[in-house]
Amino acid sequence: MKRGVHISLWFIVLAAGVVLAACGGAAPGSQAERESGGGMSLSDALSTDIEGYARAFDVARAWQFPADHGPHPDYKLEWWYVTGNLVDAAGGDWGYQVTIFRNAIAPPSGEEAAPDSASAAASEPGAAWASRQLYIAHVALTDVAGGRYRSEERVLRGGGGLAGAATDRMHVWAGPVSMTSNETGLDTLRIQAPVQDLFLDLTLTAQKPIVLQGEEGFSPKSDEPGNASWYYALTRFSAAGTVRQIGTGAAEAVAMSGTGWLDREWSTSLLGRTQTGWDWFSLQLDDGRDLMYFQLREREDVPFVDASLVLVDGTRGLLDAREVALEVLSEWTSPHSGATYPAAWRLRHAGLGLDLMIEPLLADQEFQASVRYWEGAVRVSGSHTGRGYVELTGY
Amino acid sequence: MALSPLLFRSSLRHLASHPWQFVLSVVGVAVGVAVVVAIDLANVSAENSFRESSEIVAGRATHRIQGPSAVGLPDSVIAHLVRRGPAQGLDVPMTPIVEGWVRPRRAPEVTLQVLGVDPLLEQAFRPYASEIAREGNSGDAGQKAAAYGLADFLGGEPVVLLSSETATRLELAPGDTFRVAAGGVEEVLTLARAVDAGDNLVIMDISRAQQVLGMQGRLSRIDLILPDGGGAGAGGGPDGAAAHLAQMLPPGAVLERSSARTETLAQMTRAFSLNLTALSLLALIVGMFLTYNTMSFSVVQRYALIGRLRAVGVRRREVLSMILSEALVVGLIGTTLGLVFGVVLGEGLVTLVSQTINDLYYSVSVSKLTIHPLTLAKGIGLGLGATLVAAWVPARAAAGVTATSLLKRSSVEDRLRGRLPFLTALGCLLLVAGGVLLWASGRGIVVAYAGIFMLIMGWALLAPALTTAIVVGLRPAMSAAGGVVGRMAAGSVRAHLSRTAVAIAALSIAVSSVLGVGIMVGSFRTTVVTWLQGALQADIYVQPVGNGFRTGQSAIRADVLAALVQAPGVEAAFVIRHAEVLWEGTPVHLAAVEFGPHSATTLALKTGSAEVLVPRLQSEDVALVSEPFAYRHGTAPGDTLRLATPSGHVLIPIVGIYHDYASDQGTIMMDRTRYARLFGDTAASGLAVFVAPTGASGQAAASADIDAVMALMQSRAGPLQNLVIRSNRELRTYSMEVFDRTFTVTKVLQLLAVIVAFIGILSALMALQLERAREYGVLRASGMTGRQLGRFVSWECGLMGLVSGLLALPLGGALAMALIFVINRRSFGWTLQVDVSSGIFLEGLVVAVVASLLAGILPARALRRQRAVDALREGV
Repeated sequence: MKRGVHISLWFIVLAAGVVLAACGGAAPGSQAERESGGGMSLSDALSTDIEGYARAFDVARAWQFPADHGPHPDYKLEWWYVTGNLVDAAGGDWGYQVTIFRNAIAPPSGEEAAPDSASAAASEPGAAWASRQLYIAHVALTDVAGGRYRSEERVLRGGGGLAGAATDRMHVWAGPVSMTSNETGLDTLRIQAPVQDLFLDLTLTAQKPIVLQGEEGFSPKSDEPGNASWYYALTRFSAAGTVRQIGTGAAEAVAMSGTGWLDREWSTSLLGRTQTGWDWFSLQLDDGRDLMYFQLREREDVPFVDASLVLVDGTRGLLDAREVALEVLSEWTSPHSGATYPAAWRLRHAGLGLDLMIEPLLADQEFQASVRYWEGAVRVSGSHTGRGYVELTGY
Repeated sequence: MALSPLLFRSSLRHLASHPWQFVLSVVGVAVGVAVVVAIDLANVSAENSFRESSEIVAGRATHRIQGPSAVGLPDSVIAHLVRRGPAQGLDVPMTPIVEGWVRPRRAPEVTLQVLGVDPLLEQAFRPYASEIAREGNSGDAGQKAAAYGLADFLGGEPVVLLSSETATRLELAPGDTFRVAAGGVEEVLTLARAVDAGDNLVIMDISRAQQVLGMQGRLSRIDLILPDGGGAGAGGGPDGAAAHLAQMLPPGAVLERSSARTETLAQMTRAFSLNLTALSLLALIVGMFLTYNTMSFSVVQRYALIGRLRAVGVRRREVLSMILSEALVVGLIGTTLGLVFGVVLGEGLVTLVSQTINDLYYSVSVSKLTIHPLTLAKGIGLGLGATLVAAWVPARAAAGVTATSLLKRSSVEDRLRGRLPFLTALGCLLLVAGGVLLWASGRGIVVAYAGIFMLIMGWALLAPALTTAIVVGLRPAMSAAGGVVGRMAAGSVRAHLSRTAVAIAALSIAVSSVLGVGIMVGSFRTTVVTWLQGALQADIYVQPVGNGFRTGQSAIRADVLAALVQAPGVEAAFVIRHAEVLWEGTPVHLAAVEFGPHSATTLALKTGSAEVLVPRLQSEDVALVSEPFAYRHGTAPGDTLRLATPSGHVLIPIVGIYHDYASDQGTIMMDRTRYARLFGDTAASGLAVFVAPTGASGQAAASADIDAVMALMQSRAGPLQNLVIRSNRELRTYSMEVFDRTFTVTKVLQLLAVIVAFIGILSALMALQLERAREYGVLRASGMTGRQLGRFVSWECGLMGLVSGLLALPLGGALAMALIFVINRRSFGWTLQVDVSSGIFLEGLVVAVVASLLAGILPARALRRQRAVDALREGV
């Protein structure tokens, strides 16, 4: 909370931080470093520089799939966010996070016909290199039995075939990190992502249909109009695939199976100036229901919250986020950054009879790159059991 | 070598009483050292500048992926590697590079190296290039600079970074725009920021670089950082990153160490540098003779004194030490002055040397002289070493003086005469050994030069015997022409052989080197002129503006080419493509030409006939290689070249060798159509145009017709691309300009060697005349007038010059043959036609005589003014 001032620009700073890291500046993350580095003025500039971009307002949107699986270059920010829990053949628990962010570093100009929008063209010789889009991959793999958390960031331009996204299905890539759906929809999604010495190769199979989060996919993030995103999800995939040591053959790959959860969001401005960060929960309960809950922490006010419950049949259950009570049970201080994060929660909803204990599978799942946050696999116990992922920013 | 105070004072007094002698020998050493230092500085500075700029450009890259040909790599390769590499175990930093050269309009003489990068992949490689990703700081860099950020670069805007020095030189501030031309096509660029990078570097985003350089869809190379050098070598171990990489590369692409390229280029100038160094050593050798002369002189002058010193108990060792110490003083002062003068001279020579390197080899801009400690050490070592070696014989002679033998001058001469057979035999031996070395030197240029130096030394040792013979032969003529004075002069030269022979040897070496190099350059020139006459048959030659040797970099735009070929008045036009191809992993030059009826004349074939070979070249994938190529790589008709093409390796048999003096690196020649099909490269580097004659049929086109077509071509191409359109004569003139520029350094060195020799003869004559002042006094006293004495001295000097000149003729001829048939062949693989005009020999003689006469003026004048009584009073 005390570090909050600049973290309210979390996503914007994500881009700023990348740029800062790119010039070999201070390792982004700490507030002091941001203030001393040249990136601060940039983040200031970027925070106000939303002119020329589309924004999400509370108006009905005609959702079009598969086109909406592709990029929305009119908006400044966008992400394809996959998390999930896996079990290896020996019964060891694993968690994975594969995220590709798209970040426009300049508003789309009239004549620029989004060069990164067609995958076929982008990977052909002579693909246009000019691009004002950055694609940033964040990949993390939690090996619970081995007690090891791996993470890696890659920043690429949306030109030259290095990174981009297709419009005819979900096919997005940032260098070697890629997500590729089957041709028509989201029945399957192939995830390929190297992270340090390991290579994650998963095929996700949808267990539920796409669900529009918020109000028909409009997801406000503060009371201020325009601070919102377009948000859809596919909350439950089954996952099967391998994790292998890079440089070894398929024979040495470790088979994995488990679940996956996809979040898709795009927006131009998300957070109000008084917001300091968020706590985000995506929980897959063993009874087949999936719970999404987030709170955007306010500096001097009650948090801005939202939640959704996706039932076994894929429909949304009724859930008023304001009735959810979240209690922090313990904290963990990162030995890397010195930041203190919540490390266990009790989440209750009386009406639904939920009384959940949420604990990280591994304490240290802090993602440290151009931005620093905690994102990790969690275990759910209490009234219901399950697995999930929690994201903590602004600490 | 501590001297007793007595000897020290004695030395000092001798030096003080013969200041001219001292000064001249210092100057001789100084000039010799200066020339060696200057050439070394120029060579080292040029190479250092090249290496430094290569290192700056290579950054932290350890390896690079190079395309198979001038076409470079398809730019999809980088995406393929970045996206698929990690799964294959190849997760290493890699970045695409688009590279080329542009010239800023405001300073067209400056060549800027374009470095097109992806700022995001760039970060691990070059800190200055990843500066692009740094946003301008509105605080201190100014509003304008802050206006250009990463988005502008990535978005393909024409914004660039320049190195600070370059920005200052071009008088550009952030926000300023400037025009550049690449291969004659202009672009307007905006300076975003000046950064701390290598000089003459312009950094831009890859998207813009492709456009500026006309390289859409292509990369020049991919830079990589492989862990631990990527395994054992560029090939890598089976588990190395390099091995994984090799499997992912497109056909024909190669992985090589980043330094390998620099090394290859740096090696190109080796022969050139070595030849310059050898020539500079010649100046030092002449300087050595001078020192030897002076030192032996000062010993002779002091025989009586040394005898007395020995009588009062001074030991042999001490006398030896005294003379060597004096030499050391001369050497120290001369060397110090030589170092200073060498640096000054180096400043001038480096411009000439780098000009030649730019003309012939690669782009280098030497902004500062690299004064390497090793260069100075070499200068000091050679300066002091040469002086001491030269002083050793006189010092030994001095030490041999005994107390009882108060030697007279005549007995010194007797001694020399006694040793004459020995010296002559040694000289002959050296000549034979030198000849054998030259003959057997194989490919060793250093050995060949050692042979040449042995020839020179051998000839110098023959000088006393030959001088005697020549003087004896000339005496009747001298007597006839100069009467008593003439006969006396002849006798004097012979009688004072111990001094005169050394001076004569020094002058003849200098003159012979002028002769030898002159004949070589003249022959070379004639050869090139003859060759150009055959090779240039077309009326008009067209090429994009660019650097001569880098023709593969720029091409005539396809639309411009079409417009030119179709211009009215054009009878026939033939395209040539210059490209760099990879042969066994080594970049080599390939000329793809369109053969025509003129080819029988333009192809100067060394083996085979055009009637047979041209149809073969057009119908099969076969090639000719140039003579330097065949020599350098040891290839001959019947051998097969394995060349990398975009579709894999091809085997091209060599069917013939042709003469080519355009490149000492060697060239492969192929038919353009066949080349284009193999390498997928249809670009045109040049165009040869035959103009249709408007007059009577069968006649060649008139120059007016040619001018008209040239003007028409210029007007057609002008708006689209800046091309160099030259007539046959203009191209010939230009080629000879480049040729002459190449040998400017050589000429400067020759001039310096003559200066050293002139100083040598001056000092020798002055010492000789002044030493004999007593003798002259006797002559004056016995009735000789001052005028007659002056004439006597002039005759003597003239005779010495004539002897030097005569001695220089055979040595000069031998040097020329050694340079033409051994050095040039060994260094460059060229066959030169020998072209010797009798004029050049006459010039050599005249130079020798005039130099001697000039050197004699000062002593002659001094003697003319001297009164007999004073002269008699002079002496030791």
